[in-house]
Amino acid sequence: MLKSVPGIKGVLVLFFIPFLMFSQSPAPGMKMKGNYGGVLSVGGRSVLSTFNDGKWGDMGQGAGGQFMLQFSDHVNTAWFFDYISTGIGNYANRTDYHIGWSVMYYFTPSNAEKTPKWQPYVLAGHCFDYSNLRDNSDDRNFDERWSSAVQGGLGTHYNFTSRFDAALQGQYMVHLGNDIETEYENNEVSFIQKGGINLEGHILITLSFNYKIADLW
Amino acid sequence: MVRNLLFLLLVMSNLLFAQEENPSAYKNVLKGTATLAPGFMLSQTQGNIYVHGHLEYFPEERVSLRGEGFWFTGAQEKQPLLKENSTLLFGVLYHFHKNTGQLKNNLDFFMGIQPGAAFTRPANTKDSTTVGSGPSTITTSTTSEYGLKVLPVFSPFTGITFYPGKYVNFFLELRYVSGKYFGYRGGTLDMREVRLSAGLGFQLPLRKKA
Repeated sequence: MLKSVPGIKGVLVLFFIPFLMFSQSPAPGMKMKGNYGGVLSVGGRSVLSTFNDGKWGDMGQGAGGQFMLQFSDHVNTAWFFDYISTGIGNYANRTDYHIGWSVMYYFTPSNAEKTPKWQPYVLAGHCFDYSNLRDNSDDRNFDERWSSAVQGGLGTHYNFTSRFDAALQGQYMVHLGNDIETEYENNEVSFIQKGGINLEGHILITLSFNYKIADLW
Repeated sequence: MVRNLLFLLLVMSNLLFAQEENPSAYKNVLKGTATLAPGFMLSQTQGNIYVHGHLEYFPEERVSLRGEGFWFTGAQEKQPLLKENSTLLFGVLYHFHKNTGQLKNNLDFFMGIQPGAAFTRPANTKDSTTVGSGPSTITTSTTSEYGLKVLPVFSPFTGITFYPGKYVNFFLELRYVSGKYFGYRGGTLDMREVRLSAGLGFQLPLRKKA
């Protein structure tokens, strides 16, 4: 279908020019004390949350921050906070706060001599979360819960320079603990807490930027 | 056409490679500005007006970190949709400029992404309900007030800066801001907006060139 759009090839080539530029501009590196163990970076993140409770749609949007502390050339850790706002149909909404950590294993190790442009990784981790579900028509009608979650997924860094990167990752987050279901009948919204372990979760897609600020050890 | 573009691309790459030989002009530069910025909501006929300020620091020649504030001052419409929509953002920019070793007369094209938060409160709405018919018709009107909410927002942006001197610059930038306000008229208010900023900025080299 794209082929039918006039000039699309040129546009695509122009789109990729910046990426070639990045590869031409090595940045002055950080003073390294050996390998990448101890490298600390800080960054911000934007998240999309979808597939809530096994259903597509009702995509949530969030913002947050993170810092990363690397333990070796292959292993990094991310410590993050997310604030996510999601619609439930057109009758209710939910706000989620995540605070947690992930361990990332790099397939392409970090290298102080030559920074790899792409650094794909697999990740697993844990987070604590608070959820607040609210009726769109009546702010006093709400329910909330605290819970814990485990997450796993895949992602990749794109290293623009040796110190600055952007990362795109997708992970599945399984919440452990009470679940709150939303019911909408006869223009009435009701929230029902369900006990027990519910293994349904949601997909979290994260776009983040990170800047390496120090090599701690 | 594609061949020509590929040739152009090769030439540009070589030029850029050569440009890195110059000393860094941008590294350790601190920039700031304050200007007026109109915003155009994509799902409403609504033009918002903001006072826009930012502070930006270049830790590297081509990378900068920027904190940004948009102070909502009103709308162009007589009956504005929003009472408040001030926004705070923080993110990173990548710069595409010819490294001449000095800022003066330099032209810089930049792109960036920023997550952040909008502090949003829609204006009150009035709804009328009519019951009955003929002389026994009763019309009641209800005013709905909305609370101030913190909305997570995402904002990619792009722009251009021209540096006529060592300490001043002119800039033009365009950004997209996405967000949703839940609970407006019992549903959702789509807050997607395009904001345009232009004006005079200032910069200060904090340390001697690397």
